[in-house]
Amino acid sequence: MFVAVNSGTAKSEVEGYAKETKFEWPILVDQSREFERAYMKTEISLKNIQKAVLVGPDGHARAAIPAPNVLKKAIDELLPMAKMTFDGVAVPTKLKAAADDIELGMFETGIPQVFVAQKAGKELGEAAKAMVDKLKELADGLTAKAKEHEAAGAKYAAWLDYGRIATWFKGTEFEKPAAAAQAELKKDKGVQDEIAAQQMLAQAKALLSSGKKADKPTASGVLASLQKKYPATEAAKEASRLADSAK
Amino acid sequence: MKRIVLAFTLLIAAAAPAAPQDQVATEFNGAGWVNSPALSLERLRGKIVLMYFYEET
Repeated sequence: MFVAVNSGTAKSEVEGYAKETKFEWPILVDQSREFERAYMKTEISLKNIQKAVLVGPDGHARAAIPAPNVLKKAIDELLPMAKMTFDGVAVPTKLKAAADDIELGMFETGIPQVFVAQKAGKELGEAAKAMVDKLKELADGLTAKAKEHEAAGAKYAAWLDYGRIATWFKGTEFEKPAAAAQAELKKDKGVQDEIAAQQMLAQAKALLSSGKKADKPTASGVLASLQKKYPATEAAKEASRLADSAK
Repeated sequence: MKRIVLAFTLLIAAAAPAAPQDQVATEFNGAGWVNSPALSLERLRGKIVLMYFYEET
């Protein structure tokens, strides 16, 4: 998966650049450079223009030197660990777009299409069933993870897990049990607080990444309010870190 | 005139980047996406993602 990260430019200009150059990679618009700062010690400049980061299948980031031979070696080392959802399954042309969505993590659009296709004619239906088997492995894995979180007392994490299942597997047999488990977890005061705190954190992050100077004090206010109102939450810990780095 | 500081050439070797080695990747966070719906590193777990940072001046 290739992703470009544009630093310091407004979205409208990035769109113009992509159109002008017919550049088709997904581009993250990092106008405030906050994302760049999470990975780089120094800003991109004319003397320092080649910057790349590889994220491995384990979700860990590794510095990458963007020279073809060096990059190839780094990717070759990671490839044995990489896994596609539909490895070993013949994906029919009619389900290619849905499969691509799923491989790119756009589960909400891809997964329901594959489940529906099981009911199609013989050839497509059979192919869809093979794909559904793989998706069931994904759902089972997520359910197991949710139960582990619950058993460990990590109720908010479990709430998130069940929410993913209910959303990604909408319209399938996995949706209702997951939604019910999620509703049950939401009765917990700690989960309610974490949800509210995470919403405030998301609001502050959006303000900080807007690139507008006027939004920075508003973001600081939201972060301070979050920490005061929900001090025992994970969001409060992150808010504290963000507030320090935004100073 | 606007100049693209970085064209997506991978032909030029550079000094070692400053990204920390082997840290848990920070989730995508920005002012939006071009050419794609919003992507998520968490959802791309299991895949290899190459992030290429560039700037226009």
